[in-house]
Amino acid sequence: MGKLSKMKQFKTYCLTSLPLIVFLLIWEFLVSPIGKNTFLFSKPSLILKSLKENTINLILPYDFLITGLETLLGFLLGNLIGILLGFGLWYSTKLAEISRPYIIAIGSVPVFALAPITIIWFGTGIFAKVMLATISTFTIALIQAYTGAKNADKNQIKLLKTFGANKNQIFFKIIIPSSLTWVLSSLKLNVSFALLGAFIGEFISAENGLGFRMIKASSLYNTSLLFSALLYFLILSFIFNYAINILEKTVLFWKEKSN
Amino acid sequence: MIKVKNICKHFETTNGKELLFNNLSFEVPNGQFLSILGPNGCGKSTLFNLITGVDSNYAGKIIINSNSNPIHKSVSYMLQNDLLLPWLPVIDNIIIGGTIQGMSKAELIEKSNYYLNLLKIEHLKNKYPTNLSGGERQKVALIRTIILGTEILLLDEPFSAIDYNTRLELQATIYKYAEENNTTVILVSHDIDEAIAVSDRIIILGAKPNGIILDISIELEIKNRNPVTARQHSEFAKYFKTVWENYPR
Repeated sequence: MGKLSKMKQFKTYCLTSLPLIVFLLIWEFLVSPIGKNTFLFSKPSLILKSLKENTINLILPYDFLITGLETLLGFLLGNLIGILLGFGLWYSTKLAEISRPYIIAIGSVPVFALAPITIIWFGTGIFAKVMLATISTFTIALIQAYTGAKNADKNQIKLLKTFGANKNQIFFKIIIPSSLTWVLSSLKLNVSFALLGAFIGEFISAENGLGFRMIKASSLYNTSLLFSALLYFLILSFIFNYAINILEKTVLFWKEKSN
Repeated sequence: MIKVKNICKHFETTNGKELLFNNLSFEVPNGQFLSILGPNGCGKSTLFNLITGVDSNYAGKIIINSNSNPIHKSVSYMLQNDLLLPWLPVIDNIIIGGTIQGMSKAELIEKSNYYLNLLKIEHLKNKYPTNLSGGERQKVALIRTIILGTEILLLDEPFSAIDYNTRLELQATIYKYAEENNTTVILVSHDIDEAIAVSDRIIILGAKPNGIILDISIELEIKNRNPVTARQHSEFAKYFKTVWENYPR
């Protein structure tokens, strides 16, 4: 049974990889004959070469670490503030009503529009990028945490009230656990938004980081380096998503046990 | 003792205020098992919300044991839905009410183990609610309600969604528990059979605005009465006929 299941898994991996392999082969052989095309589009073999060179000379790993750090700090800060405020709004319906237009306003401003002022306020260093990643993630975390808290089962709350539970007991025993599904889905969404925030910051003004490397490679028409940096970016995104999946399995362990 | 005095309760609807109860009054003496029957929407569950203090927006008076204790110290409430918290294992679901009320955890666990054994679900105590069948979930909810040891139990259609055998088993458990502890029980139900089998008294609530349209005592002279022997009693059919004929349709 185990062997069969492993075979099935292997087959699925092969089938999943197939379109990518076909795409890479077409790319490699379609672009090769004409030199100009290679200059514009690069090709897998050249990208691999650039990837190897820039990894050995530590340019891309260093950029990877910088972008990763900016993303991680912004992700943590934005989600922490957003989740705390989201839960805080559950405590006060009045405050939730008053703050609604402000939340909508903040949420509707594209992070790109906030980038210049953030650079002016926080400089061109890592802090400005962390701030942009924070702004990018904050609203979603807040809205999801508040929605999760608001959507907690009214009858479960009623049950706890019949036991004589106060608001804090309801919060810790019902609101937090039942909102975790919402909070975790916001974390998943926010991985992309934190990356986007850090990337935009680097795009506008930076001295290193994957966003900076990509804009520099683009201005020099170094397509191979651009794709190499993009690959590092993808790896960063995979790492974050993998970590969130582990967190989800740990926090929502009861769902696993239920299965 | 529960005294419900001249309760008037309105509901806001799209057509304005609608009167649900108009001067509803009744008393339930200590140790009585009362069943309240009535059609959907007649306010049976709302009445429980008023008694437990979950809803305080009404006119009139509800007195529970002279109101000397906070309501939750005197009353425990079992709702239609088992409302087990999916993130807690069975044992934690059972003791949640007691821990909120500051009862000793060791004592709560000891009591839980007794009832888990009694209802033959001891092996489920570390499982999570989604692994349980409907009947098992309801058994857990029942234990969660009775381990609080309150003088009054409010049961809101607790057996409506479970199989017949489990229903009889739970009815018997509650009946025995109430008898042994002299607990006052109010059971809201749609099931006339069930109400006659376990109750000392039945009240039927009418359509809006709701008043009592029937209030009868159930007197079945049986040694070791339980929900099964009650159903076999010669008077059972007579009570059924009376309730059925008065039940609003």
